[in-house]
Amino acid sequence: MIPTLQRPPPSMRTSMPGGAAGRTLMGLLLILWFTLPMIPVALWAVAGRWHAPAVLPQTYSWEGWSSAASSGLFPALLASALLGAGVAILATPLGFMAAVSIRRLPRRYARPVEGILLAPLAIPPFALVMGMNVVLLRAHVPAAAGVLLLLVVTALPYTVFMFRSALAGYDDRFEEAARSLGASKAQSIRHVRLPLLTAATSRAAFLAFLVGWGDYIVTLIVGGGQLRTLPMTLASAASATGNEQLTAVLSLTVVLPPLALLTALLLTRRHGRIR
Amino acid sequence: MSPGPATPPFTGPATFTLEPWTSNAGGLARSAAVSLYIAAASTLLACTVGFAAAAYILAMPRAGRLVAAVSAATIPIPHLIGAGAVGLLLSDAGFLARILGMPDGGFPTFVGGPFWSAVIFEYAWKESAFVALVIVGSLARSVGGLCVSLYIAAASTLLACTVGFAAAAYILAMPRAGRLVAAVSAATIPIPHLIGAGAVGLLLSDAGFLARILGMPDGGFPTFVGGPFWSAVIFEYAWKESAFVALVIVGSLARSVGGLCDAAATLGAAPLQRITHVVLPLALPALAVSGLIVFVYTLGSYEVPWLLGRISPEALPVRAVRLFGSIDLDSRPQAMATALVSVMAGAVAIIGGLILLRRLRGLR
Amino acid sequence: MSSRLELKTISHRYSDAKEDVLKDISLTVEASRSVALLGASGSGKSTLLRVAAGLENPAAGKVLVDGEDLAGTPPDRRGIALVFQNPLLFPHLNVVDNVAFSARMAGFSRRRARRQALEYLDLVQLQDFAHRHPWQLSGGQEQRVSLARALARQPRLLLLDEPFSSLDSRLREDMYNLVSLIREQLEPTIVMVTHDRREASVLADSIAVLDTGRILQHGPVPQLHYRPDSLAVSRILGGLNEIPGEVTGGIHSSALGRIKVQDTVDDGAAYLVIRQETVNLVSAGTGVVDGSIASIKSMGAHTLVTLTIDNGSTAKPAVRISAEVVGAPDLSIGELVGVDFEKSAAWAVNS
Ligand SMILES: Nc1ncnc2c1ncn2[C@@H]1O[C@H](COP(=O)(O)OP(=O)(O)O)[C@@H](O)[C@H]1O
Ligand SMILES: [Mg+2]
Repeated sequence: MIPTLQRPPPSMRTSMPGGAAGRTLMGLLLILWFTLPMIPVALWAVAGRWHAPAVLPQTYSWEGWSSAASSGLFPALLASALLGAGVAILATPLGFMAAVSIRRLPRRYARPVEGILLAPLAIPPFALVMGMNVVLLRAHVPAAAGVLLLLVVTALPYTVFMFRSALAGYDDRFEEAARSLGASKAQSIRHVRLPLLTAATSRAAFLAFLVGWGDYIVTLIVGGGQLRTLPMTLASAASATGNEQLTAVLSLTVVLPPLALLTALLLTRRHGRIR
Repeated sequence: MSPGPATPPFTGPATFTLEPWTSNAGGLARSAAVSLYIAAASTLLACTVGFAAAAYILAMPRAGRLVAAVSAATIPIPHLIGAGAVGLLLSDAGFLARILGMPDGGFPTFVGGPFWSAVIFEYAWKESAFVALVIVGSLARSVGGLCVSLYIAAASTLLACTVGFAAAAYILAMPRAGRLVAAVSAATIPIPHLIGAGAVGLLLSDAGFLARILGMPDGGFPTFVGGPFWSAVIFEYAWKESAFVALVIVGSLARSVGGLCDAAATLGAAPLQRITHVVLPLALPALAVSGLIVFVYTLGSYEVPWLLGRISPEALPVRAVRLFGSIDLDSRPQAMATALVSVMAGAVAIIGGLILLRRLRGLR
Repeated sequence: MSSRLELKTISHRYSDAKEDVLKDISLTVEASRSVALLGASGSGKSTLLRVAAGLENPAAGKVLVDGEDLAGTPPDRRGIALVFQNPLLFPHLNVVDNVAFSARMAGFSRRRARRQALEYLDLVQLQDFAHRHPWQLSGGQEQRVSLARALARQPRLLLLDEPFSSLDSRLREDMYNLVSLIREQLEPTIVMVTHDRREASVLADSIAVLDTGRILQHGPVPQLHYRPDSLAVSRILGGLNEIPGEVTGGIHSSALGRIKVQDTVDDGAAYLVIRQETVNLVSAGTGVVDGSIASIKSMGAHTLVTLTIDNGSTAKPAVRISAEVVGAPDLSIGELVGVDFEKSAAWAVNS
């Protein structure tokens, strides 16, 4: 789920068939595959005039950005950021608590509880939302709160999963070892438990943030058009024709912040390892 | 007057006895068992035939309609008439025996025979029509969408798994260039599908980037977006999910595969053989799990077929959301039914996938 | 089945390392012979095997098998099998299919490959385990399967990289017997890596001592033990006695007196090396020299007795000599005893 940039073992390098030329070609094709859809987005974001037969934009300008700004980019950015942050703030500690209690529960109960927590992964989000929408309307829950609630439910499987796998690799004996080496209870938590779980926490929070930040379907159905997030703005731009610049600009504003966050996460982690 | 068994019924004081139960317990139990047997066998047969008929009706637009008409016609026939007809058909000297040319002796005793075959046949015959029509009625509206969604999900999963495995093999095998591929594939993970769909629209639409690069903005360029094969939708899913598949495989193999490839090489496995005989089988569990996740996700995802797909037939999620948002009040239940079909398809996929996975683990 | 291996002036450096792991290594192994590479951990033994197997391309030098240069030949076409320190059995294949792997790769049918594999499993006495999965085996069994799998390749050359180091001592003895059996039956050319000098002595005809990427000495097992080229070789082979002194005209003079050593040693400062196993303790005054007992250390069936030689000179740190004697001798610290050894076999190395 979260990208791990491990160092590949060097010894498999002779295992790629196709000779040097074939390998280079395959590498280029793969990079092209993963980047291709974002190339027109990047170009359209800075294109001025770009009429049909021209392969590259004929003029470049920041038109798209100014038109995005005038069509509510900043409030949408704020709404999306708040939604993402809200989901992260709620779903991360909930996921941690759920993972810990699953670990503490006897196996007989742990399995069904885990199953229920992971169930939203198996249900198409639109179906979940349609079902819950009726309930939320009956209960007179405000739209924004309903969206937040449903997104937290959607994000929970990810955070639970992250903490579950982190705790699976976490051995209580680490802390016992620390205690036997003379650390106090507080010291063993501070110097052993926290460092070992920060990576999982930041990953879980990142995933939960992404759920809120990039959501469309929940906001669409439960939000009932009141909540103008970035994806909502983008969807209305993308579904109409002739909005290429706006679509591209909005796409970039959705994509770039999480990528920056991810890079920052990876960089700090690498720093931590060297230290 | 002496009390005793000769006491006429319904006079005198009431006495309680279990005699009606016990005196003929064997016969009672036998009748119950026979009824249960008949009910179970008839239900099983009716459901099997009914499901087959429903599938046929849904799958074959023309011949299916004929089957639907015939089966609908059997519904108003009362069971009494049905029983008489089956008797004429299956008795010792009945129609079937005459057709098969064995009126005496050779023909098995269906009517009044030891297996109650004629009774079960009658029930199965009439009730299968009922089952078939119920299934058709509940699915007909969604079945087009279900087929489209299943097609999209299957094609996307296949493509994502293929490209994802290739990318994973490349990342694992090439120490330097592989890291670049790993980085770009990791970077596609946080992109929401909505943005991916928008981007693919810019890339693949009639006057999109690809059409311009290939120099055929008008006419010549195939209609990917909204085209008959849902190509743009499948491409978007394959693009984003292949990155997911690749990273899951890399994560599960990175530690073990180097040494095993070395061992395979010194045992005479050529590079391609190492990929097919070592890396692929080792990656299979991770590939299957991620493939299942991709399949279930693409089956229930709304944004991509909405932006890049056709209007008719509609993918299940698109249909459900459209009906749900419609002002017509009747369409709410329809939306819910469509959503339910989608949930059930996902559940079936998950159960089937898990069974397959267990099999796969058992093989190892 | 067996071939002659020649490594010529091999140098190698890992891409992210500052220093060469292998420095100008030359080594020849005659057909059907067995050579042990002995060296401390990190000295480059595994790297040398990986270069020979073609898993690493050396920065310089050649790998020749029967005179044919293997540069550019990928590992799968070298006909060289490598048994790794951990067994590396394929987890998706059962035991017999692991052993049949190389035949399958060569294009034989599954049936034929399995039939052949069963013969090799027979050799390592695991035919009853053919249909188990790798995780259902014990460590020793896994290592035996790994060996059978390498042998089933019918390699020209068998490379063993510390294959027995993770086994307990009894299993290891079994494996030694197995390798001896294999050497008798198949006569493969073997290069094996070990950091256990006893293992090297048991399994190999000759030992090559590797230290920080260089081969210090290569020779038959007794030669390495009793006639080392340098102090480093003596130490790596576990020699404890290094008596400092001076050589003039083939005579070594030290605290032990004047002892005739080999002619090839240069005049000047030199150490007398005497294997502790060849030193005997006798009653005071009857040996080469007398010493007082400084420590007594039990080594199980043997006892290591260390003595301080005192012959009046107190200027230098006292010369010590160790003797490994059978059993537990009735001695006490400080007791004066005589030290005796075969003077005619005395060996000195220049310092
Ligand atoms: N893949 C590698 N990349 C970088 N350095 C390595 C690699 N493998 C081994 N080394 C280094 O090369 C040296 C020799 O390693 P190795 O041949 O495994 O030693 P040995 O087998 O004698 O213990 C060690 O210092 C080790 O750290
Ligand atoms: Mg080693």
